Amino acid sequence: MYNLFKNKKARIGEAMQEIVGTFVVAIIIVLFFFSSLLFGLPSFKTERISIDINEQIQDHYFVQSKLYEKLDFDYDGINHEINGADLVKITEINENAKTLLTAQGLSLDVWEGFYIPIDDDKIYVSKEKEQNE
Amino acid sequence: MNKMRMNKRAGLFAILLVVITFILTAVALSSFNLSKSEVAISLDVPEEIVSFSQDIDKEIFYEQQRLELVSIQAFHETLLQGAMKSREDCKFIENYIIFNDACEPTENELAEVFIEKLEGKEDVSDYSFSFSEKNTKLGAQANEIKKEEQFSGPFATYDVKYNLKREFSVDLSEQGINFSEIITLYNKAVQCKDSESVELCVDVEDWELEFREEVYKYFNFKSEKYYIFDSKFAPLEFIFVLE
Repeated sequence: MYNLFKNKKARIGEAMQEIVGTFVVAIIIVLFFFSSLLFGLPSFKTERISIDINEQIQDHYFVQSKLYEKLDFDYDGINHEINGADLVKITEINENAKTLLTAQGLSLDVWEGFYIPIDDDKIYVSKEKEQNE
Repeated sequence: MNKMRMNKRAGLFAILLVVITFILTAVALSSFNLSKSEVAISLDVPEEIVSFSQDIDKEIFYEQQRLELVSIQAFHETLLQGAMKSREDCKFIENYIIFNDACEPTENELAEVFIEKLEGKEDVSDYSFSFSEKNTKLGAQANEIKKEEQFSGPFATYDVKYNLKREFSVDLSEQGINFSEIITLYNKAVQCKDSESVELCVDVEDWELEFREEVYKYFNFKSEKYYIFDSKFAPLEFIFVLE
């Protein structure tokens, strides 16, 4: 110990070791921070949110326009001109209506989207999701 | 031996350095991940606000549909009742109302019965109704729907609310509800009841007639267009008997 106080070189070496060690730790922390920014991707998240909002708006107006649109429906051997909202209500009575609804790009399978009254209940109608979603 | 003592201290220092590095790195990683997920949550808020505002469209659509559905149901029930208020002068036979001088439909009475049926519906008990444009448009008013929601993230809190004033207009003729047309059917039946071919004589657009004569003359009018009522998709019927 006495030798250590006297040993300047050793003291300098130890001090350098500590300084370098501190720098190494600091650099590692900074590297982790930047890599979390790059690979954790808030900017990617912003772009994804933007795409999701666009899709949400498009789907909303797609369904709304389909519910007002007139289309031909065969029932009882007669051709009827009805709108999409009526077609949704008729799915409760007739299986073919559901097939036609799917052909229009609409789906009743999820509890989201527009809702239409029928009896004492509501039927939810939304855009048919593509297979790969 | 002296060398060994010096190496021990250095060795201890090295081990301590590695341990501290690990601890600091772990703390840094977890705090970065935490703030990253908080940023992600706050970035989701705009999507929720868009969704909330789209609720207004859905609510309006639902209310309009509710009114139209109930209107056609009320009209169907009005016709089942023979388009008349219940009174002693009006008799029934086999569910057919017997029309005569003491009991015949008028447009005003038909409209009154329709409104009574509508106001009796629990689905729309919160609405008040009125006619306009010679009974071809039905006005419906109810109190406001208020909706409020709060979205919060670590950086901001969003308060979003809307008040939806419920005032709607239903085009009755578009729904197949035409009071003057029903009176026309009755007048045509009265006019043609004694003709050789009643069905040919009563030639009314948008309606088909099944006629039979027994003791009375049975008129069964069915609309060509189908409507949704009583959980079915079927034509409206107006049936009555003339002496």
